[in-house]
Amino acid sequence: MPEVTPQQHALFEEQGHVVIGPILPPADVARLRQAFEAQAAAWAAEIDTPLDDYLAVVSQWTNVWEHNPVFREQLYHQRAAAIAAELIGCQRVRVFHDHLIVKPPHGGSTVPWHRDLPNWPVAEPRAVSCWLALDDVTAESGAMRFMPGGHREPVTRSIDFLNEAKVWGERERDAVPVAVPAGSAVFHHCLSWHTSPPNSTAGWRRAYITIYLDATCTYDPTRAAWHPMAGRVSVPAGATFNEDVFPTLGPGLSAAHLATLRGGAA
Amino acid sequence: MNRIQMYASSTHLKQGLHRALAVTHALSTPIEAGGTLAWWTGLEPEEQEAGRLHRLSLESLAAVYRRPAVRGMIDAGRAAVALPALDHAAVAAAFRAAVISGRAHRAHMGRDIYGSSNKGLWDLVCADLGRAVAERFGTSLGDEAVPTADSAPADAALTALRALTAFDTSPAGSDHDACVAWLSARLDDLGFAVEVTGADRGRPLIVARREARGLAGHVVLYGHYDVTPFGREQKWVHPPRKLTEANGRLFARGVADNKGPLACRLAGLATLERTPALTWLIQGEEETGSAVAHALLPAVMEDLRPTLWLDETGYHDHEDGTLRLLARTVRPGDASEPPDGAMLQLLKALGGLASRWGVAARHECRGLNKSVVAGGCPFNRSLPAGARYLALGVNDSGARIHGLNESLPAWTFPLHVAELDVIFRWTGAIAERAS
Repeated sequence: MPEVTPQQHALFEEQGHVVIGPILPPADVARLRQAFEAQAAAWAAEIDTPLDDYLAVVSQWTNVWEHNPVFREQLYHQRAAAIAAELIGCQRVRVFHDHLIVKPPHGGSTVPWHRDLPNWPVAEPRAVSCWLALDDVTAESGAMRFMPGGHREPVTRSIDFLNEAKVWGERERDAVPVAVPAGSAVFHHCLSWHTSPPNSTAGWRRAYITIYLDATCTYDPTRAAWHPMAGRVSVPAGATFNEDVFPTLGPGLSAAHLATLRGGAA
Repeated sequence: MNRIQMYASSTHLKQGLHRALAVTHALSTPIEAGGTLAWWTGLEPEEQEAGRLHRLSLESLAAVYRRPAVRGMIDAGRAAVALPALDHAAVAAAFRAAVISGRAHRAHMGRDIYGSSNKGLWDLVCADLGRAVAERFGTSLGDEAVPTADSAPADAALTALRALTAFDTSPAGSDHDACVAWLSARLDDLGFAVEVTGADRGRPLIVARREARGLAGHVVLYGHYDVTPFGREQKWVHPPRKLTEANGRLFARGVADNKGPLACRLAGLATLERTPALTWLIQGEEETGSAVAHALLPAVMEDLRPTLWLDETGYHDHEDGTLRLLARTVRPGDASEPPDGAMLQLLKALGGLASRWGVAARHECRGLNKSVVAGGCPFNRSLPAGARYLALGVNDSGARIHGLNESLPAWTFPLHVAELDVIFRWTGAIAERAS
């Protein structure tokens, strides 16, 4: 049974992002929030820092699944992986990495306009991110804004957030915040342009992101050597990624289903 | 690099914080004859070596920046370049955020928004200081630290030195004219108008002049292309007629006196976009009495009123690399008086620059010791009263000039190019102020 409707697929193709969900029931979302709270306290203690001070500075964590069994379970969520495979149009997906990104009440910073792929040592633009909201995310609490259709534009180099800014001019008006209810996810293309503002509300804005690659994507060491995952690649340039750090997920789509998807997308 | 980038913000921040300590120490410390600049000697003993090499951790730097004496030093150094004192409470808070971010990243891949904590600290401590220092002394003073072990001559400098040492310009040699032609061509390539004079009297004198390129003022450089005899060649460890690199040093007759400094300056000038007006005097008989130069240099130099006179080279202590800043105001009879206030600022900047290479700097109020030069040095003898004189260059005290196995250290080459940049920027600023 396809996880993505033809309308959602068409929207993804056109816009570069699509909200799908809920993909988790409220109880599972609450469990992830509790897991984050416990894990954040443990992380703060690990570096001997009061939790409030810690969360005032640290806002994102990579490879959470390697630290926490609840997030590990979520990483292997079959439905999210199937949606990603359908949107990419591949038989199997591979996890590049996960991360938690948190904006505390009346906190967090602007994440400038960027695209993800130029910041990854991945050769092919065949990847999607599943941005799973753990709170109801609104424009005020820091919802991402996307530039519709930007994913279809040519690959660009990465943007140095500390020295550069993407300027859209008049086109900036086309960008709209994408609200996401807790338990739902926005799936976005690895070349979509996106940004997010600080959280101006009294609530948290927590999201758990899993980056899915087409399992056949290959390692490109000439790109983003500084990325924290680059040091964990143990295969040569041009090879598919090592399974121990970048696991493939699920049984994979059948060839027949994939052919249907590709036919539908055409 | 006077910039913090997202891709290496921790590394860039640590470099910037070390640089701020080195530069503010140099700018705030009185420099007197015999005095040594070495900012890391103010650290705790166990911190000094890491400080010298710019390898203190962010946590250690946070502790250093909390010390009242360091805060006073930084504020004094900032005042020297017309900057306000730091908000030290804000700096302490920014250090705390950056340290938390760094620890979280190392411990469990947690982080802030792509280096924003590092950028916050950078903006408070490094950004305006870097701009102010660059305006006065160029960007070389703000470059990343280069440990002496990793510092090596540019390929162009080695190529030039290889060519120069291949010419036999010893007293009995026959390549003086070829060497003059080669030097003239290189100077012409660099945009100098070259005059070769005195060939009818002996080994000719090269007088090369170049208009200013973006900077006010005028610097006169001196050098010579002749060398002393090779001596007993079989006693040399490396062949004296062929440049050899070994153990971080360059060997051949004349590398230190004076072909290495010539090669370094030739290659360096090709990389420096902005310079004041330059006059380069290069003679060919320094080792044999300087007859041509004694006859011609006084008249050539009489009409020159440069901002600075730069001698053929200068020295580092070979034991620990300490830079000797031989600087003086010339008085009649080639006597020396202390440098003026403007030149003391230059010495401080050069001392700060040396610290970027992890070496100290010591000011000595004198010229190069040329007592062994037959007939005396015509350049020094012809300096006008009141001249600002500086001897600075790639040699060290292990060079064994005139002896067997003459050599010079390789690591000093990039430093000297940076020194030229600082000197030229200072020259431009001083000349503009005077006009």
